Amino acid sequence: MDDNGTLIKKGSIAVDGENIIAVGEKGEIESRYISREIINAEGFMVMPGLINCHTHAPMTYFRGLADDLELTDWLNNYIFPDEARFVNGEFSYLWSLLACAEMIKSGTTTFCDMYIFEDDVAMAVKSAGMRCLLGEALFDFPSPNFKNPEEGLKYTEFLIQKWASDPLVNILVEPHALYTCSFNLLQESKKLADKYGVPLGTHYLETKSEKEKLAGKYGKSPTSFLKDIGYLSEQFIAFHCVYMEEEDIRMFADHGCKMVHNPESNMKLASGVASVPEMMRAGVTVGLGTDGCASNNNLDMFQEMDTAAKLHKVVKLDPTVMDARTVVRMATCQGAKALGMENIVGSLKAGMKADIIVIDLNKPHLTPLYNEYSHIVYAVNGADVDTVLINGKVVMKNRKLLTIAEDELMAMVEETAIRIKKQFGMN
Amino acid sequence: MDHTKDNNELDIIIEGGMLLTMSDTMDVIDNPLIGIRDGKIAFITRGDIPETRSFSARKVLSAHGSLIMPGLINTHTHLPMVCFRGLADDLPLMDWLHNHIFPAESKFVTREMVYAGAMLAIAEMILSGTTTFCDAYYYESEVARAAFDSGMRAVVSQGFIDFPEPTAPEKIADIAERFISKWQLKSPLIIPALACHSPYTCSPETLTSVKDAARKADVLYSIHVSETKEEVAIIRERFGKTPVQHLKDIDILDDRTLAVHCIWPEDYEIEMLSASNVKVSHNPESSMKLAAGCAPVPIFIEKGITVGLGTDGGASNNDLDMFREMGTAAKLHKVIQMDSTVMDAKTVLKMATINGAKALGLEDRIGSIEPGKFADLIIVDTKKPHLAPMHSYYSQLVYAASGADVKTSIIGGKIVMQDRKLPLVDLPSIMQEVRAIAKSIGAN
Repeated sequence: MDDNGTLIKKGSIAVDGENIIAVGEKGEIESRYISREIINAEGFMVMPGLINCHTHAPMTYFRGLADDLELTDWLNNYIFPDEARFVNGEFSYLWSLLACAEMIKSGTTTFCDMYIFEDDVAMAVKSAGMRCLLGEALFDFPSPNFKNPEEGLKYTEFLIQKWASDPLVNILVEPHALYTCSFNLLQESKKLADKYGVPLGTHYLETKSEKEKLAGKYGKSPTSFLKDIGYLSEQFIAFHCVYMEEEDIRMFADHGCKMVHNPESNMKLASGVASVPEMMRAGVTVGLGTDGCASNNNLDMFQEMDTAAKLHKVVKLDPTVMDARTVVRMATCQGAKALGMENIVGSLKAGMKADIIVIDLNKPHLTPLYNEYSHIVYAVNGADVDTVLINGKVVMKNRKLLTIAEDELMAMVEETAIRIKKQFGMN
Repeated sequence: MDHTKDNNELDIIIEGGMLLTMSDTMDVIDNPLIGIRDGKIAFITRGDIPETRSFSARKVLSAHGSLIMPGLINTHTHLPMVCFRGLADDLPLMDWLHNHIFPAESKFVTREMVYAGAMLAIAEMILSGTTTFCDAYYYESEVARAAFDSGMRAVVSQGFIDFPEPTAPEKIADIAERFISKWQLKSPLIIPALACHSPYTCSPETLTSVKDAARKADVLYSIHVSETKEEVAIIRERFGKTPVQHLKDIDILDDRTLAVHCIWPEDYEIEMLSASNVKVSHNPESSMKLAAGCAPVPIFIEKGITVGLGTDGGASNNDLDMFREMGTAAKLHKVIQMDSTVMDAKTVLKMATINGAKALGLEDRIGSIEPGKFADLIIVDTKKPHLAPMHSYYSQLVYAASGADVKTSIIGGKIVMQDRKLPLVDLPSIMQEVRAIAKSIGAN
């Protein structure tokens, strides 16, 4: 997934510590290096780890709790009240660890997260050995983690400082959305991001009703408003962007803003379909994300790629849009670029961090093989990922997680789900 | 029958887990005991009733910590096309068909290719929880043979198309009769049927001759209908009417007709489908990938039309995983209709099981787990990170599971997969054979 889209048959990758030091033909690499450990990928496909650009990791708890409901009913009567009642640091840690287990097992190596108690999320990510960019969800109303937005900002600053030199955990500032954040909170968020030179991410124009709400609010288009408060830059990551006009897209392109597409969540919540082909044509960097588990309901980026490739075809009635290679790029190198990490992950070449996945092709649904990109998008499933390296460390081998005690984790989440249900009298 | 006093030995007992019967009353049974004998469900009872434990069975399967549900029913496939999986994607439909698929078919489709491709596809389907498929392709007897050899249940359709030239009506009757009689009594697994490719590739004479033969033999008649806007335009130009109307006027529509795709029907055509009790096969992923369009399935269901789910062929999907097809079916209509309440998980799971059985006219035999029906069932391993926690079985199966979560599969009382191993399929040699075929077509 380098700039030239190089494919190497009978290839080899040399990894030293955290880094890829060489990529090339097997014979050539073998003659140049000796290694303590050799992972044989004969009959397998090796590619960069997938980058999930938008998640709410602890929401694995809410998977399947309430589906097929009208959006405001879902949020106001199920998700928000439950979150207020029983989300705490322990909750965020446990359910994030489950998310990490699921993500590693489906080939994701980096994700960008927004939730509450993100320090606990960071600790779960750290123990799973994953790479992340994460931030505390900031909004005007009190959260279980902060009484007011000022505390939320302070907590974010604490996260930035605490994790500043960590090789895997990166922090960004994440005001939740324009309709949940005051002018002041948006401005303070921007100031904080600038102070530390970290990215700024927000949900943006996800639903029609959000767009309608914002229409009269600023006396100008929301994108013009963002421009005026200095948001539009290469450090700005906007999640969803379902209701972007041509003018919004042009402004995003002009300022190098990043967009994250979450097709399965947008479909399941009936939010709409983002104009991704138009954005790409305009030059906007687009990453791919699953969104939280409660609106998907899994974190499998292979399935997300498949949906992304197909959805735009049927909406535009044009089978040539979102071809397989474009979609694989969204989930790898373009995703890395969306998160500002293109110099460390998203492609396999010398100098990059060793975030690598190995896919088992020896399966009926992956036979025969004509085109690698087609397979990745239209036929591979998360369960086909055999081995995963993150930052040079093997975190899954032959589908066995090495950083997480999976059986113990499964027992604990089951027990905890039952306890929550009992304690809070749900369903 | 008081089954507790029945001393006959069972073939299989499944104990434990959670049973989703998909019966009319959608019964869910915790910790069940399922007895299987002579290919059928002999009884279902609660596992914690002590006297039921006196049964003996040749084989006892534990489903503790798993879901047990009817095997999935894929109502539309072209199995051997897995040989063309990924050969050509992301192209305009006519370019894809005329410059890639049709030339590849005319050059490479042989009996051997059809058998090998069907075997590979069947392996993929069993591994992803499908227990019945409804297929149409060239050399369909080879598909039937592959199904028979692998223990898969199949509706196999002798297909007709006026290409390279039309078949004479007498000859159609003859071919149809020979195919049906060849397979009709061979095995309960194989159900012969007839198919016409579409109203734009078959003349009214062909369409009616095949339907006559289907009526005479009382078999299913399937046909691609109203798949693309181009097709609707062609039929309008040729006959001055829309495709479903055209089929109605030549008396094709009845309760043994399976209309595949049905993406662009007019309102009055939906009424016709409903009034004639025509069944519909919905193939969302293929229709998305080919940019054909999105069938108005929620309206079909509202009008009482039976809708089954299908993957279509491996070249336009590109997998045969019915779990992923369910996930897509549930989500696609929500965003198209801008209504997150349509196509709820239960509705979609019905499409892939009992309503799929109804679409094929097999609901008295398969589609739900009930005494007297064939023992076609799957055991899904839910002890996986992406299936936790378990708030809702239907939701997990539709929105979170994939075919790879299916652990065990039983078709007609025979174990066709256990712990993801296929005892009846020689997978390495089938894969090797298909790779060799693909190599001659141009694969890596």
